[in-house]
Amino acid sequence: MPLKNIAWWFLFTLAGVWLQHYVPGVDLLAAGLLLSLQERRPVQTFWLFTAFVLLQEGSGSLAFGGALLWYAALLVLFTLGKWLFEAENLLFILLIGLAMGVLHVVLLLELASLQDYAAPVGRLIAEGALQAVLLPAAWLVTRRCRRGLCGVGQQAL
Amino acid sequence: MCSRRSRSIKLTPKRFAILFVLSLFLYLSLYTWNLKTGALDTLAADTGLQFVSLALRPVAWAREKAVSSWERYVYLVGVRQENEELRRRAQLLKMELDGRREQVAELDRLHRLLAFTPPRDWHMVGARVVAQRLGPQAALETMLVDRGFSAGVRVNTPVVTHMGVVGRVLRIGPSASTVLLLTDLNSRISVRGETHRTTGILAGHGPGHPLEARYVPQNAPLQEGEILITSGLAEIFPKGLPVARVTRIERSDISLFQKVEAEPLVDMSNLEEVLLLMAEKPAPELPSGELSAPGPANATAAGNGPAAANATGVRAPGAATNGRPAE
Repeated sequence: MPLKNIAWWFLFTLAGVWLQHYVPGVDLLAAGLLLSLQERRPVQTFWLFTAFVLLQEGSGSLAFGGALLWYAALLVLFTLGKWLFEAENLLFILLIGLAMGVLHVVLLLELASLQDYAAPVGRLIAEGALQAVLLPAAWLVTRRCRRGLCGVGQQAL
Repeated sequence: MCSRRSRSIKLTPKRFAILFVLSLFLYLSLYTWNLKTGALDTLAADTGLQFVSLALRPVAWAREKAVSSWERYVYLVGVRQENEELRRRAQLLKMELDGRREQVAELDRLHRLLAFTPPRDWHMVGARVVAQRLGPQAALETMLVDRGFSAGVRVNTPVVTHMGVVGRVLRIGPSASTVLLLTDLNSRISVRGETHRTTGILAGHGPGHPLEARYVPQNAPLQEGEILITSGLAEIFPKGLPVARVTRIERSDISLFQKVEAEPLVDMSNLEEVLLLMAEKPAPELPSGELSAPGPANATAAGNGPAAANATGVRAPGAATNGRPAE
């Protein structure tokens, strides 16, 4: 990855962590991974995947494995969804947002129960709803910024 | 920019199914191995938690500056009525005062924290709160503080303020730690009434909800307004730290225990600084399989059954998972 690209993703990660500080329980970095998948850059996606998993696992409160499943699910959803939709179709992104919102609730409840933890269902549902709305919004903003600053993906337009 | 290399591999349903099963197997192996060793949790804490902590420190600084600048502006508007000389002087004084206001408030908080005397054989280390819950994996009520194992913090280190108990350390990184708050659904702390010495297990019910003192026998003396203190039975919290105040007691004809509600003495949502209590000598090692780990249960006793009343460090699923094993 060229330096400019690395710098861009570093700043994206930093901004994502800062914003997550103000929206607890919501993943804003997933939008970046989604964008990377759409750019079809396996190496870039691999590094982002690894970095985001470590970040989310490190700042989380459950045993390692949740973020791994979370981002793996995003990868699978994207791969499967591509059979039916255009990768950059807004409806597709909205559906992924919805699926990730549901997954947030299911995944955390399952992982918490694996560790004998109790999780507040009401709060998780609220966070899931917020995740469903914020993922497409974050994706739109990130895509616009990336195209504006790096000129990536202009051909796709 | 990176050159695009698209080499498409045809993903047939059969291949997809094989890949899925293999991935699932690999994931479950990884998850189980991590639960036993805690290696991946350690890796995540040393990298992810550390990065997040470092990334958020400038945000806390910027917020402090923004609040300070706003206050300064408000005060400047208020001195327009005064004459030129007084206004200039007042402005200068105000600016200086505003500049110091935050420091004085901080000093005041720190003074009150320092007034806290740690129990014998314990010493304290101050820490700043960097963030509350962060990221999609933050299922539990936690907060992030800027002290880690390099400052001597260990998993289950008690976290307090001069007002009372805040929680205990759940996960540690090099210079940051995650603290499980006592309001979390999984928090259990062995307590006793300050006046009547009645024991029970204090359980959290989430933020905004009262705490519950469980397993308090029907005939045990306890009154509303009484302060609940740590019993020291779990050997995680020192004995005698104030934790909560009893707000409601209900006696039922169909239960062996009283229903006791309590409120935390510390306002968890507005914490800026906390104290970490460290034992001078390490806590006795728990039997194999009962590592003093972040299990909700611990500090806290475990589980929801009456056995929890024993309030000793109890197995936490993935004992070594969320942090390093106790040393």
